[in-house]
Amino acid sequence: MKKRWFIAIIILVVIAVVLAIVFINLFKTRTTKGFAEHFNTYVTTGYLAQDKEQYGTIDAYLAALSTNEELSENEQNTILNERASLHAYAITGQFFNRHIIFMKVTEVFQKQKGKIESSLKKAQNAADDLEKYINKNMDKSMVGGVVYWEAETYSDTKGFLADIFNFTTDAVNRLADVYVDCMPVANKNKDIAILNNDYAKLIFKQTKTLTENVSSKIGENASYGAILEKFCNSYYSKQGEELLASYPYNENLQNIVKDINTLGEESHFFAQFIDGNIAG
Amino acid sequence: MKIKKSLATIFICCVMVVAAFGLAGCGDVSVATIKENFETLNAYYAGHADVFVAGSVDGLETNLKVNFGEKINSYIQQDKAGYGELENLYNVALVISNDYINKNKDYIFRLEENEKSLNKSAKNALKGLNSALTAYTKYVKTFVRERSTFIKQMEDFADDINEETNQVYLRRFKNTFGNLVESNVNLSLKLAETVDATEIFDLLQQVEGLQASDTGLVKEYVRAKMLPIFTEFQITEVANRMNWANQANGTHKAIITALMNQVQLQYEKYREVFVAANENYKTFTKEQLENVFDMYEEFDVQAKAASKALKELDLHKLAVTYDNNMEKYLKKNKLAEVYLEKLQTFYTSTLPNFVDAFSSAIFAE
Repeated sequence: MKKRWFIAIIILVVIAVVLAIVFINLFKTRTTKGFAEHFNTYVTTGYLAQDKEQYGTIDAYLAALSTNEELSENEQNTILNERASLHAYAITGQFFNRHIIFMKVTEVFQKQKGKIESSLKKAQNAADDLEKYINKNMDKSMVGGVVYWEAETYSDTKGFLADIFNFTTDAVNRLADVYVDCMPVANKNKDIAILNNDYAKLIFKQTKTLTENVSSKIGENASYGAILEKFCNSYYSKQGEELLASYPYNENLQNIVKDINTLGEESHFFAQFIDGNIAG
Repeated sequence: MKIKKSLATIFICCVMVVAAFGLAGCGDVSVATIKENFETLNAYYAGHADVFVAGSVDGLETNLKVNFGEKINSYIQQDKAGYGELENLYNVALVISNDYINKNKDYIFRLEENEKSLNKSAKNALKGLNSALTAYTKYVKTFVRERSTFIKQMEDFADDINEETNQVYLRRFKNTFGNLVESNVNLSLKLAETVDATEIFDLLQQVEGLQASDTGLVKEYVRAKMLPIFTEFQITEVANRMNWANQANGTHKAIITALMNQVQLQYEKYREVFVAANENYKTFTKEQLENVFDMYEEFDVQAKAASKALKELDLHKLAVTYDNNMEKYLKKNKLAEVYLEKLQTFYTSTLPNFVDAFSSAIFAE
């Protein structure tokens, strides 16, 4: 009899503990911290960290390849676009890194974060493989030197380079959607968006258009990458972010954004916007 | 049978205890209660007129300046290490916060006339206000005791103790003073939130014929809401937790010192714009008032993000445990650089932009 009571009490305690854990997790405030920390790694120590060796190794390799006349024009254009995109995504990554921890967890965030993490992980793996290959096979004194040998390595490395570009492009495009949805809103009744105002939305929309141009014409024309790089350097840098923060008080900028949103490429301001100089 | 009776008694007792706890959280707080509690606080101040004296702090006239007695006042005047902050950091913050409370509590008292028609949000805000008020009143008593202890220590032993011990006593007292300021700032914040919860600002955005005094009400509200931006940094996170000047010269000490200087600079600008006796307000149209509120609400979201960044950065841990060495600290707090950057952006760009835009919007030429 006593033993039965004892077992019953144990079972009740276990059920109570399990229920408590379930309820605590249900009502726990969710944050973007875990995702922010992972993302931070790619930007500060991973393949998008401009001051780290991996980035420097890949960038130097791309720089050497891009002038290699043993490669076809199509291949050189591809390499130039990939190099410019890597630069652009490094700056863009820093921008998102500054904001993710302050975002809210929304349905869009929940839906996209797994896919973003997956894409970035694949890009990082490709970067790791590429770095390993370069360090194993390249005599650094030959960089910019033995042209024929460099060209020979491209057939082995172009897959890695394509993966880095494609997966990072995917991640950046998804991050733009997350940003627009998850940055705090000041007044629910009026939907006053903080830092994801019309100006930010215009920048993200154009970024997607420019990345699409690079993807679809990657071997045709090297200028698409250069345009993307200049655009991202202007708007995602810290200086660019200051302009974004000033938008609520900057009537001139508000009028320009309105004009571009209304007229698109016909806008008088469109060319300077693409050139990274929206405020003139 | 006895066992059954005992179990039944225990069960009934548990139910009553749970019910008592449950009921304790229920019930609204009346305006009359809040009025009474403010009177209790004022009576306490009056009964300790040697502690809370009339005077001027940073150009602000007040009846609630904390007095420190002859010995400590002399240290303040001599600018002895660390003592100046009692006046130019703690007393200033307390005076600014109390100034808002004194000027705006009557607005809350006037709600008594239409108390029954207050919405749920206003009633909850009144509860929060009362809670902050009773907590502050309780802490004031602790502060007065600690102040007396500190003054006596200095008057009796200051000439016999070494500098290090002197600083230990000072830091202990500053901690108490810092807690008092924090509690008072929380009270003024709750008061501002109660004003907002009465939907007076929504009402003003719907009516024509606004007056300059309405603009003043908005300015006062924003002033109260902004004060924690400075006190949380300077007092709660820094002065209350460590002596910054004595911390290790790690990689990031100079960077954070520069940030602190920027915070101080913005605090001085805030006092110039929001605290100085300029009541030359514009008279808004309802659209202009709406724009001003939109501007403030955007800023407030940024301010909350900066507050989160400050807490998560944990300057005390960086300075004391990691000797201001950010590289080592990043292994523990991966986003420390992100938080630091947020604070730098906020105090060098976001805050000054807002203050400039807001002051242009509310003050007449």
